[in-house]
Amino acid sequence: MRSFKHTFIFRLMLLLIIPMLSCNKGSDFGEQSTDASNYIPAKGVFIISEGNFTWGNGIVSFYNFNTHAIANDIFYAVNKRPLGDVPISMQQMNNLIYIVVNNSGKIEAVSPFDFTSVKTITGMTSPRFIQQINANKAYVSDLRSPVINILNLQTNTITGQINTIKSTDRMLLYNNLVFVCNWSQYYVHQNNNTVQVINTNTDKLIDSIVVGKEPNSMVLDKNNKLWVLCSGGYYNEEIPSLICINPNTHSVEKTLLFANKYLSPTSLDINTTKDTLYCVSNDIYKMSINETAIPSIPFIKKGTRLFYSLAVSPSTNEIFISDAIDYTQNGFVFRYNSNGNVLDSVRAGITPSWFSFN
Amino acid sequence: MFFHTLLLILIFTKVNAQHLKDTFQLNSISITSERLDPQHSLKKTNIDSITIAENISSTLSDLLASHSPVFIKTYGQGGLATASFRGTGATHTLVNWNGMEINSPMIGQQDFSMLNVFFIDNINLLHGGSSLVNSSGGLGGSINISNIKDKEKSHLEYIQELGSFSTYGSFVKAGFKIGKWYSDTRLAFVTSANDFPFKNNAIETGSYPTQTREDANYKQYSVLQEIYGELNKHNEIAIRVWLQDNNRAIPQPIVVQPLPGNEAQDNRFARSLVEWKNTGDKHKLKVKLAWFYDYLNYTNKIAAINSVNKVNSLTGNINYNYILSEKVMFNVGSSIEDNRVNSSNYSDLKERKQFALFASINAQITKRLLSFIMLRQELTDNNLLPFLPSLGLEYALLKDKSISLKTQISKNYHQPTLNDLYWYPGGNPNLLPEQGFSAEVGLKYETKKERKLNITSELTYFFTNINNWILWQPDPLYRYWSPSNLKKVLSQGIESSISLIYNLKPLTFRLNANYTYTSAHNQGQITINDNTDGKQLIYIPEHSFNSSLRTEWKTYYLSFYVHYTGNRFTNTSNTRYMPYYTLTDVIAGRSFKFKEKKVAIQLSINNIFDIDYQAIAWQPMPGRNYQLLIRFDLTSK
Repeated sequence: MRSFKHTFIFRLMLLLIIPMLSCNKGSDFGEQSTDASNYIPAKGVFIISEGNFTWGNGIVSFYNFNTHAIANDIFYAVNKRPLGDVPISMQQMNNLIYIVVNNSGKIEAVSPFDFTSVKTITGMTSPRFIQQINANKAYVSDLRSPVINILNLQTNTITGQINTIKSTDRMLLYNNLVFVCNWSQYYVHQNNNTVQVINTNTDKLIDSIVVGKEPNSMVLDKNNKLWVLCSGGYYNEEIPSLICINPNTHSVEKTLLFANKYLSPTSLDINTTKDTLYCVSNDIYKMSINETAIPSIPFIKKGTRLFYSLAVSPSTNEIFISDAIDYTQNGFVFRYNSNGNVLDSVRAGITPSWFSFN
Repeated sequence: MFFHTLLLILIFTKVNAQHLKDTFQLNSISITSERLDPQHSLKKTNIDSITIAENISSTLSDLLASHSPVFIKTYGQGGLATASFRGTGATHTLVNWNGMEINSPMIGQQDFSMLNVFFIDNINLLHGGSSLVNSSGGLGGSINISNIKDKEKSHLEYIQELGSFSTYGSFVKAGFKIGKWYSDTRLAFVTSANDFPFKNNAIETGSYPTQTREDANYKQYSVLQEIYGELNKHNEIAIRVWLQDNNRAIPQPIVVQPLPGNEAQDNRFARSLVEWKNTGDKHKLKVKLAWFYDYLNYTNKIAAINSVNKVNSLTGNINYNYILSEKVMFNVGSSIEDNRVNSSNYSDLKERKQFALFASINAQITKRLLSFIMLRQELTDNNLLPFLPSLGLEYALLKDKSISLKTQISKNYHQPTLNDLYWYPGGNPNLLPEQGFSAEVGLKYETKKERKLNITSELTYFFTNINNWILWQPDPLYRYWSPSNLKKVLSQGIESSISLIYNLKPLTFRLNANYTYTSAHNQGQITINDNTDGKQLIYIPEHSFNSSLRTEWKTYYLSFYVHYTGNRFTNTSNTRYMPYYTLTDVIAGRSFKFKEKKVAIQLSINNIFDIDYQAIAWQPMPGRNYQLLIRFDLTSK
């Protein structure tokens, strides 16, 4: 009986001590990824997956054109910390890669050799996209404040702002002009149906061109015509449109309307020879720049997929299309050739949305 | 960690086996005729009064996290805390206050950080289908809190809490009796700056700078008034009114650009309940009438949101219990409920009417076999809902009934919440109820005679299949989130618990421990690339364990709480997870007399090993912190 008592108490104590021994003081206590690989430079494409708002689960992946394999979460793999909340775009400028992390209000500058963090650039409200102007200067658009921030590429600091009155989004450089989409009116309550023109020598807003509601993407074709895709608005207020602008005169030359209000097209891109346009509008559409109407038959049908974003590889002319599935699980990226045949597919992160070709 | 849990199970079983042998040898066999326990066959966990007393100034979320098998998902002290049973969601955990459901009809869940233990006298959990005895909807189970009349004639008690991070709590309880009437008043005021230091592991490579948590402050005022009347031998009346105001700032995850003071929430509620009980030799009739009012104001400056939501709920409930014989007992009842929501997030005033009819029979079939059958039929807005039958059996394996085998099988469903139906934009008025089928089988051991060592232990395997699980997803254009009956979930696992009191004079040991294994998996593919099939639901740990050991010596006591939470996946693809953590709290206290008045002091050291952890990704939690409690019993002698 006595020995029973003792072993019993001993076991009782053990019961409590064992979990105590497993305490993880000082070790990793943040969110861990089981799908992270190191970045090895190669010919390929960087894919940004936005993740979920406030969850801090957006990632950068790299799809290697030679091995056809994807390395996910390459920032976390080497830096052992999250990239931030809602990474949205990236640019390779001078000898660094800049990743804009929208809801963290920062730009992470990383090494193009191994993705190690070089600098975290802050001082912006809600950065969206970067447009390099020259070796010393880049513009950073902003969702929640009516400005474009000026990034000094030598010091990697924000050195100034251009007042734009409206929220700013996608940008495109043409000679000494930057064309800026005014995509959102959610935080800055101004009409979001314009493309603004900024003189990069003076950093001043010089003009504004009225387009459709919610201009969300732009490309320049082989004839130096600027194509702007407008979704029609958050609440489908207008029929979506594809608008062709002469960037020299700032005048609208052509307006092609979509079939109905509810198509919400996005992700306008152009092929290598700059004569064929692609966009996502539930399905994938493809059209020549000489077309006079939006094609009624899709180029690639979505089936049960949820196409979110596309980009055309400037080197291979292949089309990369993302399937966000349900916006909460890791999405897919499909690679298609220009005939619309699928070549392969890989799994990236949650909501793959941005492609940067290397 | 798996090794640890395995070891724990081994220790459990060893202890049990040894003790059982002991029982066989020592216990003389005696058969006594007992009155039929109406709650036999149910899976129930009671929180003992000592645990309640030790955690009197805590919130129910903290108490349940360290003393029950329920998984508490918390944003930290003062922040939203929800409960999940058996791998189901927060809306599948019903919270009943004195038998009336207090989950918000809008969100379908209860924020456990708003329930002060000080306002609760009794806590029990009904697991899975057992929750059907009160109402439908508890696919995971129910948490039942109630108030009981104080035994003393009159009393006055004052508790003051002083804690780290400028946390203060003042609690007063006063009761008196006039003739057949008894009044009890409780007041509570809790406030905290909650500005704890934490290591920020999200912003710098290679280092974790220490920062101070901002915008986590909260304030809570509350009153609970109870009036009890013993009209005569057969008739009793209870009136309860509970008023509370909760104000809190909402802190941001540390991956987000700081926006100081951006989000805040003000919750106010009034809950009133009148209960009439008529008891006879063979019957018990209970009639309850409740009116609940909830007000919620959420503000988000940057997004220009100022949302005001008001809910009025009126519920009537009647229950008649009849004892046919020592072996058979009937119960019939009905309830009617009306919810009205006025929300700036709905297009207009929304109303829902619900009606329920239920009947059950408890019977002792043989000396060792007890059975329980329950039938329930409900109507919502004049639509007939599926019929809900459930069956429970309890079979005593030994003559002394110390070991019994229990099983239960039931159908249940959970109605869409009013937000699921009417939220603008996104709400889906065509949603179907979430359908659940549950089965469980368990083994229970209970020491039948007062002995030096008293043990209660239960081991249960559960199985729950939920169809039409409501899932909020962004619409295809990613503009707003919208719910649909998309998911199928199969949740199964093991619940094991042991509760033990060991009198080794002059010491008394009390041990409570729970280990839960939960495998809650998505079933099926919704679209072609969907890879969530067979994956664990997010924020449901596979392994969780907690234990408390209390040692009493004269007027002194010392307690250890150990609380382990296993890895939790954070995305539905199961490629990201939050690592496990173990928290240890130490509590020491004593009571003494000061000028003829009883005084008790208690010091708690929470997270004594100063573990850095996050329960939810990028929501930091406090390290080691302290709490001093002084309790004055000012009752005049």
